[in-house]
Amino acid sequence: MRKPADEHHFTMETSGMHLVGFWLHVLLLFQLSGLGDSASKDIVCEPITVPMCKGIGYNHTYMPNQFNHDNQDEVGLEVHQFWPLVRIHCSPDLLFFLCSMYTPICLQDYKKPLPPCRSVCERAKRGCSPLMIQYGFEWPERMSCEQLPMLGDTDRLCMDRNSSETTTLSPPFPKPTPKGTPRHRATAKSAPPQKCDRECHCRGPLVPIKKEAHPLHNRVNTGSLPNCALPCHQPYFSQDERTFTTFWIGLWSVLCFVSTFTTVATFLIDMERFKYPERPIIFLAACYLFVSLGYIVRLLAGHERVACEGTGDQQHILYDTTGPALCTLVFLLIYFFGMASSIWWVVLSFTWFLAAGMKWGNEAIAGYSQYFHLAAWLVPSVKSIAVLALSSVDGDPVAGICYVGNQSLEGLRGFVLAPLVVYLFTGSLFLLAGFVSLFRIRSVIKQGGTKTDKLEKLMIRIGLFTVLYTVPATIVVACLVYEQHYRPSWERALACSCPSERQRLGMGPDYAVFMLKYFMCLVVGITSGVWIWSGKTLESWRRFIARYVPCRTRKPPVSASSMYSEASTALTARAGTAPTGTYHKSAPSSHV
Amino acid sequence: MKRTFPSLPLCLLTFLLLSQQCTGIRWLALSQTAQHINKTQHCKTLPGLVSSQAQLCRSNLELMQTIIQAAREVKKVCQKTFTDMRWNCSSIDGPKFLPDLERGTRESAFVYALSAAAISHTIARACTSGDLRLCSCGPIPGEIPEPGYRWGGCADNIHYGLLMGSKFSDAPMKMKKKSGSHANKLMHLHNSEVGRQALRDALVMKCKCHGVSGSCSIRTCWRGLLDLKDIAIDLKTKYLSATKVVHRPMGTRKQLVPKDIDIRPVRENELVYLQSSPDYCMKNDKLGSFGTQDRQCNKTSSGSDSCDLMCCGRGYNPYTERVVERCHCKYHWCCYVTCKKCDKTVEKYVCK
Repeated sequence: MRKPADEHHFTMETSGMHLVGFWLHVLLLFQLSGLGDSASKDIVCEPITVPMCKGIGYNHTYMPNQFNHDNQDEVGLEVHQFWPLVRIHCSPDLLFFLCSMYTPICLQDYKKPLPPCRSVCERAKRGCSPLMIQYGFEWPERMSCEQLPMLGDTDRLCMDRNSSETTTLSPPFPKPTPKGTPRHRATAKSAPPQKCDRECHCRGPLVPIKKEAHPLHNRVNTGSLPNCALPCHQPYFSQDERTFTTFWIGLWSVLCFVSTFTTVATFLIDMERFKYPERPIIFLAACYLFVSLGYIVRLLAGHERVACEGTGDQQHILYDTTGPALCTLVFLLIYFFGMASSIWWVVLSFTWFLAAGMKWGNEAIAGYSQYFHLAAWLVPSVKSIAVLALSSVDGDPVAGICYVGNQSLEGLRGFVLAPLVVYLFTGSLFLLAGFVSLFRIRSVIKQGGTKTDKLEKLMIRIGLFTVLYTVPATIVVACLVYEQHYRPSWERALACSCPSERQRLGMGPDYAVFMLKYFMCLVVGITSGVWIWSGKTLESWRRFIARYVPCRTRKPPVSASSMYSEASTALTARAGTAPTGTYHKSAPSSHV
Repeated sequence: MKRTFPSLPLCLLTFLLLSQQCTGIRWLALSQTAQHINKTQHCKTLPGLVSSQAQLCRSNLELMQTIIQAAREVKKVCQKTFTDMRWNCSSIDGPKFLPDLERGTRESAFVYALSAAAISHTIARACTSGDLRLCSCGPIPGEIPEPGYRWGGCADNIHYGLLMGSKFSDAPMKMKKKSGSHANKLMHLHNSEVGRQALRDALVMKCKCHGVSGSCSIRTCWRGLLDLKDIAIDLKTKYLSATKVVHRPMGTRKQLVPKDIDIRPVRENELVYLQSSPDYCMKNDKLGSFGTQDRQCNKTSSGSDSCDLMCCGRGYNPYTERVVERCHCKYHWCCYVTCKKCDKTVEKYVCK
């Protein structure tokens, strides 16, 4: 049986041939109309133009999307609001998840929807929702994970990386040559270009701790990954930056050593000259002498020998050190004396407050000197012993020293940041109180004679030095705050993203902040030498040399060995002070 | 079975007589127009237009492309809406219609209503999309939005659509000359107005979300029209409950009143018809029935497309068809999909 239309068509044919052409024309029109209709209904693929979503793995999308955006300009306006969240890298899946929702994938040969899997959404939400809540935003309801299909659902396909996917680690840094110049540096080898892998795992340059016999097994984790250690050198910094770090630290530590050594030597030959309240400056300089010595030891021994452990591709930064001698020595020099210098600054501000604000005499202040020494040496001792007892000494991958808090945020906050903040705050209080009192009693001092004016000048000079100290101290605190705040995200980025993506998104620490921190740690020692720059220093050394001559002529028999050392010192001093005589003769008025 | 006309002259005479009646939807023949209307000379060659429509064509040349699009939409939507019925809108092409649309049947009531709605709908949408430069967005509502909402976007210009649409589609029914019966004209005008009322009811609120980080803290809303297929479904419901009327004197004028005198007066949103429809089971050219022979039916359905109802009890023939479709699709990271090809045997049924 034929269809009614065909029969009708056949019937019309008997009426005339022109009707046949008419119906064929009609059929042709139907066909064209059908093609046009079907074309308008189909999804039209268009290249992705939203900058944030370029390079996520596919290049074409279709509009409108599920959020009813009509074009990609509209999409870009909304999705770009998530850019700060993507940049902070709270989740490696966030960017792909957002783009697969806002610019859905368009495939020429597969017309059904292809959304991200629920697992992708849940990973992004787990990583980023806490951060959004901190800023007062909930996870958007329109992006709830429950509406997305599960991975493996045969009826509804979805996008997620396959669980069976395997990735190859980047080659680790080559083993440094132990022989040759002591300052030999390991050359960084760039990883071969590879597809960006966003799964979190202990990839190079991180060091996986695979053997159970390893002392760090089950004791370290990086970016929330267990048994994953940081390498010997800071992975974010290039070889040039590492070389410059060594030069930078060497420059300031040597300058600091020379300056503080001069200050301490001048004090030793003329102790009576430096009385309270200015005497703490001398002890502060002495502390910086030993701090710079700690950095110099690192320079002589090398980054790897001080701060690292292991060999070859298993070399990693020191964690919870159990007591290598070099590491412990460097730690004690830098930490103990560094903290002691901070306390001496507090003592300086306190004694200055007593003298300038409370009008104490130097004899009265000196009466309490044993308490000052007790506080300045005992507190750092207790803290250093605590750090050693808790095995909190660890290696600094940037500077190559041993310190506390490099691999532990609790250590950084508890043993470094908190004490520095307390000292800075306490000393500033004394300074503020002293200046207030100084202005208040200024009129009384003016009524005095010449001696009072000289005393006031000294007070202002000490106060100025003490205030200037707060600048580098504050900068160091700021650098430490910056470091402790961002370090978890730096470590997580090492584990969860590839080098090209880290470079593109700007993850990682700011090199300049670290260089600034090391300079500020040593600049006070350098500038403390300014204190002894005066004619008095030359007079002190001259008197010291003059005192030596009568000792030599006397020749006591019991001090034969000391006589020899004194003679050596006298010869050195005499040669250095040769120009001093000329200056002395040309300025006879200074004796008046 | 095979039928033959008694004779050509008689057939031609009958055809000409029938074509003189109700010419209101002859403009639907525009759906077959392939050329682009950009000159006034083209208005004379368009099929299915009465003189006043041709005049509108010449004075609103830009509007004609939209009207042609509307004619295509009427056909597509009508055939889709009535896929599951015995009468399935097969004869809607025109300009010469079969008796199923010329005799004032229930089916013609639906087609008149849908045509009036479609032409106004298409013009209103063309205003919004910018295809028509004669008009622009619809007005912003005067009511104050509640917190978190605001007016914006581009509302469908339903006012202009109704104005121009009715001017064009109602033109044949308002001609002065005494062609066609007055009863038919009244019926068609009424049913067209029902279609336009359905369009007014289809003006709904549409909104888009805005807000930081994907939150819906503020919504921009505008008044937009539902799709034409939704309006067609609404009109189909009215078609199923249409009222038969007669032309009867009421006072000093003749009006359409329900045939059964006990029934309430005709409502404004109610479709009406003058002639009862055949059952469309058997082919009958005099009634415009194509019959359901060789039509596909649904064996498992209990609706109008079930084999029992569609085939009018004559029975049906099963046949199998081999279909090749994609199956076992799998997604590969990142990013493509691979599928296998599966052969599948589908059983279908056609009426005897």
